[in-house]
Amino acid sequence: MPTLRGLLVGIVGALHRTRAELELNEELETHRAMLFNENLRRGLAQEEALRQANIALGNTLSITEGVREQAGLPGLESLWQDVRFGVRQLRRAPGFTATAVLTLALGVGANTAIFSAVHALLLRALPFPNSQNLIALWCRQPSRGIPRLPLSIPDYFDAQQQLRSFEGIAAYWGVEDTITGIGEPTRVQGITAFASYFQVLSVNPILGRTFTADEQQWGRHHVVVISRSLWISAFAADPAVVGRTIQLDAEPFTIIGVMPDAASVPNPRIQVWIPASAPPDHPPGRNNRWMHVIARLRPGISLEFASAEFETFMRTLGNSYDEDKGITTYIVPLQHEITDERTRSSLILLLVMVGLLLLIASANIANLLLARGTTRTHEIAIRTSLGANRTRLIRQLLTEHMLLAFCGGSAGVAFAIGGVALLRRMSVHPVPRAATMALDVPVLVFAVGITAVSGVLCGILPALASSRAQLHEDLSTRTRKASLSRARSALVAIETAFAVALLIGAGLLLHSLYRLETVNVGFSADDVVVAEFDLPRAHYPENVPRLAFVRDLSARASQLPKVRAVGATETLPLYPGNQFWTGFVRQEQPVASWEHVPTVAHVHITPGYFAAMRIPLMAGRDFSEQDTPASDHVAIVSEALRRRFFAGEEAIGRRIKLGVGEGDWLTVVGVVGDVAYELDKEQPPIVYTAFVQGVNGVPSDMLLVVRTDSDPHLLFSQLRDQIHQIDHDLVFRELTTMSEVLSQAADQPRVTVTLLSVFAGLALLMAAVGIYGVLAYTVTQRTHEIGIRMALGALPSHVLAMVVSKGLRTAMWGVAAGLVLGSVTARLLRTLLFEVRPLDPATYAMTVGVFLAVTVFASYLPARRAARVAPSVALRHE
Amino acid sequence: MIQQRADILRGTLDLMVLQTLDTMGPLHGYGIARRIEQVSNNLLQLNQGTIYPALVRLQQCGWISAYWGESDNNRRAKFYELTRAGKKRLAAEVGNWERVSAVIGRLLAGEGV
Repeated sequence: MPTLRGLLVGIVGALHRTRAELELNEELETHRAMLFNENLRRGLAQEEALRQANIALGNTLSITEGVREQAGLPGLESLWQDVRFGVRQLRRAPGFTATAVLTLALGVGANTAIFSAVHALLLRALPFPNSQNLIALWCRQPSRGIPRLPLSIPDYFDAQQQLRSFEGIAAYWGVEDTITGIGEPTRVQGITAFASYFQVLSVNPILGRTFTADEQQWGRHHVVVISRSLWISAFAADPAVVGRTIQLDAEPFTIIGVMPDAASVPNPRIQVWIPASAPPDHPPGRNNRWMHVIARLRPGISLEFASAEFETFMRTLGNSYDEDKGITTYIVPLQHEITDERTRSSLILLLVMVGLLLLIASANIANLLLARGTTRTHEIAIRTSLGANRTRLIRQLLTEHMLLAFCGGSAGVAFAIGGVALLRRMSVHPVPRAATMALDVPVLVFAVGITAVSGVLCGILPALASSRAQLHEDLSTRTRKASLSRARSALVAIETAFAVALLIGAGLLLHSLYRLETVNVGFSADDVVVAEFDLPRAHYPENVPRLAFVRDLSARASQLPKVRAVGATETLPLYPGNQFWTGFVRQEQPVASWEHVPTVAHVHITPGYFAAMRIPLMAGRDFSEQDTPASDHVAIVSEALRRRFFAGEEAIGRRIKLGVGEGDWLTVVGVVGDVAYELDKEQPPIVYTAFVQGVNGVPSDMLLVVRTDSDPHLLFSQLRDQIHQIDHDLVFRELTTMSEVLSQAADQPRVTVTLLSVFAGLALLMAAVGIYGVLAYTVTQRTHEIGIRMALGALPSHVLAMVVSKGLRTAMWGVAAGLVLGSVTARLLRTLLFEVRPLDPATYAMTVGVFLAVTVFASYLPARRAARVAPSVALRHE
Repeated sequence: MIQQRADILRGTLDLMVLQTLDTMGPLHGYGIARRIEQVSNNLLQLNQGTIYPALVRLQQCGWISAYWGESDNNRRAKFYELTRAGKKRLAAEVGNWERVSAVIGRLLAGEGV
């Protein structure tokens, strides 16, 4: 280190000295020669002429020194001096330095890590040209309480023709396919899109081409664009990949192009793009809405204008088509679309909270510096009396404090590296673009920025306070010390306030998570295996083979050892993926128009499903083998549906229909308990129908649920064997347990709560250290006074109480301010709370309780020391 | 306190250097020092080296500029020249000096204020 510093001094000096000083030397030599010449002319002897010339010129060394002082960038030079001095000072107090650096490193590290997430998910533009013009188009149907609705194919085609606000409009939907023909069958995520998709995004293939309009025709659609990552993993980046054929869900597709990684939006795991085409057996009705629509605004068109045009367009459609009646619209920037509202508000909340943590850290360091300043009073007083002016002292102290801040900042960036890795791991599955989190340039600039700000925040007050020391004051320091100690108490109160606010935020979310996790989900998740599979259309084109497969797999699964019940279903409670919403009509209350048809969930199941999930049957009967395609079509409804549509009536035996128009009338034969489809939403009204009766078609994507008596994980390999035996090319899309599904449903809030709890814990620790520091200092200062008190008969318990109550008094102001601040920040997290109000009294009371307990603990240590003061020692103190 | 005394001296020396360059045109350090000595009739015992820090300072302020040239006896020498800003500064300084010296003159003459 010293040699390195020496080297640096040498370089800095050499750089700005050599040239200027060589010139100066030459100039002085000229000057000397001129004087010498003149002296010669005046008739002096050589030696005398030189002597007189030297006298007249003066000491060249001190001239050089004088010039150097003028020229040598005085600011930089003295800064360098201050830095060296600062390093020495910091080294002299390793304990203090380590504490301060660690405190700041935690603050800066946490902030940098969270900011990297905010930057990657919220701030960074999407990787497309002029991505700010990219938007998503959505509908809603307020009359039926549907907040978010995709478009139908006909609506999309009309929009493409009529809307003028956009350069291009594209529709797509997500798919999952099994690739075969290149090694092991693998599941990939993909997008089915109309040809305009890539033009709207403005993304070009790195190899080959994208779809043509011609390839949107059913039958000509067997072409595929693959992602760069699939190209590398499955084809070893073969440049001749275009033209090769892969099997997607058992159908051959010709590879026509390779897309760069950036094209995998919204989900980085998207690996294939297939042209959209409506199958002839699936007529694109206006009521079949599954088109996700994106568009690129024409330059100069505002979001408001486009939004108004889209709304007018939809209203016009509503006048022409019954299905589109009462549909309203909204537009969101694609960037917002990709990071959902919940993640967005969680991140903003975390950023605010972690910012508070940094403020607490700064306050704590300011406090430490103030304390240290008082121990340096003597040094500074002497320097003042030796002629150091106050500005110079402040500059020097501030340099020292900034030095400390930057040490903390550097360590913080090191922490942030770990933090970012941790965040990436925590957000594995649901958050798109999480993988792009990194300590890149903008994030590092942020880190430097907050380090500088916190350096100034924590450095300026102590620098001002310490530099005021004067020798004569040093003799009568009483008032100064009192004001300093007030400043320190104020700082502690401030950090207490911030810590309380953080604690309230964490407490509210923790409470909310507890509520979420103890929601009555309506089924028993223990010991249940969930196996999802998707039957490829090529081999299972319609209901009969699909039903045969389900029946076969269920029968085989129920033969496995320790299996209690087996059922199949189309969707599962709390399971990510589609929920099937449909219109609900009672025979007694026919409805003519879609506009006012209430919406319910519709789920196909097999007879064993309720038993496997332990969903209780409240009335009537379960489905059975007697329900066949030929028998009367039946339905089982959930308790919520019965309450809503058959309040005060008998539901069993009623006739209902799903949707308007043609369709089977179903007889209600049973009522089952409610289940939660989303933890924080009300339990939906559900109509269950039997797979075998194929109401509205048998789905190809299904889930098998198997209840066992032992560890469900033991069944995984046996189930894999069974599906393999039935269909060699089929793999489970997902094989997990219901407990896992349940736990994942609360994943995102859990991540937020975990992070926030860590921050709150750190904040609490820092505040406790702050309180401890102030009291420990007070006790040292008042040893004399305490000694007198004890000599006069005060009991140790009195002294103890005195110190602890001083700690509590200091904390109390902070707690009061923190409650106010906390209730303000609680507004920020209102959207994240579940069944907990932002002003939840229990949480606030608990926070105060925890805080007071910590304060008492932090005060107790110095108080005990005070109580042990021996009067004889104390009186000799000072 | 030491600093303040130096400031007064420094200001005076600056004024003298600026005035010298104004009347004499471009000059090298030796020439400036000699000129100041001559004008003061050797009353001002100037340590000639002290003008160099002043020259550097005046350059930093942008009041004078420097270039390398040839002296009368063919030596390479650095010549200093008043800049436009330096001229303005000189005018201001002279005005200031005259006001101050007038006040001091009156004080010394014992006039009541």
